[in-house]
Amino acid sequence: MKCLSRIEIQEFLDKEIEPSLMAGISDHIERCENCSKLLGQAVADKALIENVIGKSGTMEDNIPVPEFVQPVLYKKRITFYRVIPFLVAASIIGIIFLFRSDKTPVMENIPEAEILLYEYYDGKDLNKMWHEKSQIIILQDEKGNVIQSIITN
Amino acid sequence: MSFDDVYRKYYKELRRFGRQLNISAEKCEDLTQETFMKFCIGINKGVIFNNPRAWLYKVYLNQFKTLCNSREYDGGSEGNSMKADNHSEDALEEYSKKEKRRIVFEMLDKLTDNDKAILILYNHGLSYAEMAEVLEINPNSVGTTLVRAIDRLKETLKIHYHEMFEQN
Repeated sequence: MKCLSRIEIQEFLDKEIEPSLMAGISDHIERCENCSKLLGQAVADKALIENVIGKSGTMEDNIPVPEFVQPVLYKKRITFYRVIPFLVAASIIGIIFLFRSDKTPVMENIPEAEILLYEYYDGKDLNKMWHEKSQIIILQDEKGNVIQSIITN
Repeated sequence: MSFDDVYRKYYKELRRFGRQLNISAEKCEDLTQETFMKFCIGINKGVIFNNPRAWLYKVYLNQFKTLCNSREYDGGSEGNSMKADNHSEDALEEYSKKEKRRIVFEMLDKLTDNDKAILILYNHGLSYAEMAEVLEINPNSVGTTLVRAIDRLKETLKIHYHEMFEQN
């Protein structure tokens, strides 16, 4: 068996090595002077940690364990600062709606008959049924100018 | 294990951990309560904790790191608050103990947070797997990290505080 590194010795000391390997390592350490020395050093280090760090928290040992207060399901307080992002977002959306550029209706795709109908009724909404039943007669000249339009019931 | 069992079993241990990290008694109490509060909320939500001990330490350590980064943290209290109240013999002995403790904290502060934490966790008897979970490192590298931390602790002792601990 090869000699162990310091890390392996530390792991051996802390019993963090596979149980099947423990016996073999233990035998090796007993026979190997170098590894035995390293183990001794690791044991001394552990004692040093206990001496230095372990004692630094002993003042807490006499403090009694207080009763635990079960947490109450609390509601988050709505503070002004939490509302600010929502206010900003709402303002931005409002401004976009106020100053949006497509306010004027698009006329290009609307058939002429529809425009005439729209003008005739001064922009009022039409009854859908009436609209379906009515017929429009448009009189045009040779150049395509509208001479007269007639709406029938 | 029920919440009450976990609370009774690990309360002192966590408090001790906090004090060893050099948190003032008041803050230490707050952090401990907050950690258990989170644990309790987790249990109420039906979270299954395979290793409550490691989980508590991990949450505590994360809270400590957050506290260190916050403005209200004064860098611990031990160094400033330990003064002898009177000059009787008992008080002198008490003062000596406190002074030694102050030096320990001062020395630990010279180590990095991770070194300090791994040494304290090791001292608390956590397994390598638990330490890996708490420190969020690879379980295979715990041994290496621990040995390096021990080396740095010894180096600090050798340079600054050899006299204080050589008789022990």
